[in-house]
Amino acid sequence: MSLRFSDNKLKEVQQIIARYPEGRQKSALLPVLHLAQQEFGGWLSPETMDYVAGLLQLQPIEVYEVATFYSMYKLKPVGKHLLEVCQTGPCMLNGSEAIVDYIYERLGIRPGETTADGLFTLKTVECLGACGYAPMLQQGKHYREHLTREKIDQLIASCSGQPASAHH
Amino acid sequence: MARKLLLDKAHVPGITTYDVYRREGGYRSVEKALKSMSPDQVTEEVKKSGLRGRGGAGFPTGMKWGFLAKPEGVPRYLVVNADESEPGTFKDRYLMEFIPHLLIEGMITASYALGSNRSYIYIRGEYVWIAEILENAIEEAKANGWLGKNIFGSGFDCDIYVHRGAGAYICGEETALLESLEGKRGNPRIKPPFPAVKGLWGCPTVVNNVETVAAVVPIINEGAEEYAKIGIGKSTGTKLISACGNINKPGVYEIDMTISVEEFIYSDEYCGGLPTGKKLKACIPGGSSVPILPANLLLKTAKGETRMMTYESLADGGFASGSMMGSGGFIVLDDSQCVVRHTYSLARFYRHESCGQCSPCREGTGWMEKILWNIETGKGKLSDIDLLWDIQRKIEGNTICPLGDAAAWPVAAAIRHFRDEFEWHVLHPQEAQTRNYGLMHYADPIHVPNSVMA
Repeated sequence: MSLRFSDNKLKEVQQIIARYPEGRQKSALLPVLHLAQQEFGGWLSPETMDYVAGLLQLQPIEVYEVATFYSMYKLKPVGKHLLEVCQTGPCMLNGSEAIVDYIYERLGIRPGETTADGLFTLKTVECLGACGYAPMLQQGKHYREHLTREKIDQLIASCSGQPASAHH
Repeated sequence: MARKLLLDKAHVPGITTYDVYRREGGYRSVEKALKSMSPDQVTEEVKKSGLRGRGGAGFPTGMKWGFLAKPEGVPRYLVVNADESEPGTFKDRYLMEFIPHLLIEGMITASYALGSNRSYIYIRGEYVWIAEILENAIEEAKANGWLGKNIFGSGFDCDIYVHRGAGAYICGEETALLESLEGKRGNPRIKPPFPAVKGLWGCPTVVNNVETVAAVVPIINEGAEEYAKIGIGKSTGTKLISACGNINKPGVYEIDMTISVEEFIYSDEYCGGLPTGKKLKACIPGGSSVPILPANLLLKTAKGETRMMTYESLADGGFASGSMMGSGGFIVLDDSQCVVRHTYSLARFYRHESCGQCSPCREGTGWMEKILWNIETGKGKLSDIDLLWDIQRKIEGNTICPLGDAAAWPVAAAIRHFRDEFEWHVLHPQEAQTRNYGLMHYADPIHVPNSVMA
């Protein structure tokens, strides 16, 4: 198999497994899937999932059923910058729909779509626990809060102008 | 000025570091517990404090601890629920981000009381940076001897680990959380057995909310009696309220449970009122799952008494005319908001978050979302309103976990209190596309018939 974590990442996997009692390495599945998604292109391909199954001595189906349950695991490739706009009640009260519309105006993509250059994917997501700082979106590990049209402009400019990974 | 027990030091510069936290009196509760109290005495103290679970259910914490089974030779676990995903709720995030050692300290003291040598923080996956803050705090605590083997010669061992979820509201339900911590889909378990008997990996487990565990620190430091002096009746101590929606000062406020809802909304110490020119239309006082209340029933109970920010007062009138403290997610709607559209948004949320195990919730949440969308977009019928009522009644109480109830209640309450707004959408489909229903008569007292079903 061509897919493999670096030695450093393999060490990290061992540290994750050590958080749980002996024989409970299945508990490491969620954190190891996060790591795999981060390392292998921002999504979980069947190949990636099979690799994780092997690492944790699980059946592939045990990995698939988890990967398909949680919304943070992406089962299809995404753009370099994934913009996940919260659309739930409190964000809606503060104009999240206008933010989604404005991103469409700027980038020509609707939720679920990726720009032709592969730079941006737009998604709508459910409550991310930032209700007091609405409207907001998540970009990789960052929360972008109190969004305005100007802030969206800045975000797009900074993502387009300089090289950046979707995960940092 | 309200007394603060959890956030009083949250903005001391450098408080996220061990040195500053310790200098400000941190980790005293662990010292006190390990040196001068037995585990049962710690539990007793928590019982006497009247502390109630801060995650939403409001169950007495000491009693929950008392249920923990203690068979010989079987490990016990404390798991902190930091999944915080009830819309409107962002208080635990605030506590963990600004004063992370308070949670770690509370966990060590609670772990000692429960006999947990390995305790976990299950944090929602999206809070990536907060997981890092907590891991730093844990490392600092360990480097200074507060975690690890034989802590300060007490014979008590304890380690704490952070476990990130991956995006699933349902994992805030304690048995779904445990499934997820075991590396599975977050499908809630049938209870009994309760986690206190069979929890994590089949072992006795206590699952407590972040704020609940943090509250153990002032309870041990100041004593249960001092803690219980704050508040009214069975609402003791302080409560974190995360306020959002159409208010001037959204944010996290620590209140002692002695203030009125009106003071909380309009006082500059808290929400600072509504934006200029806007009027209060409605409020969901305890997270999206609890019943929405129109302005008149929010500020006063149906009996005409001032409604207070306590568990009892927010629930006064039952579901006919009251609501719940819930998770403390306080969502305010002004008169420019549409209750139908807002309810649709919440219904969509619950449809998305239903785990799919139980048919009433899996199917019902989707039906409610579609029907609400039809009404919102001018394609609804009057009979749809009754159909919605019928569906929510059939979800409530008929599912393994409370997500079914959580999905049913917002729809039920919206129809109960705002039925004329739903009817207006159906009867004026064109107009409903161009403007919102507005405030209408909601600012005035409305009659609440005794026959309204709870």
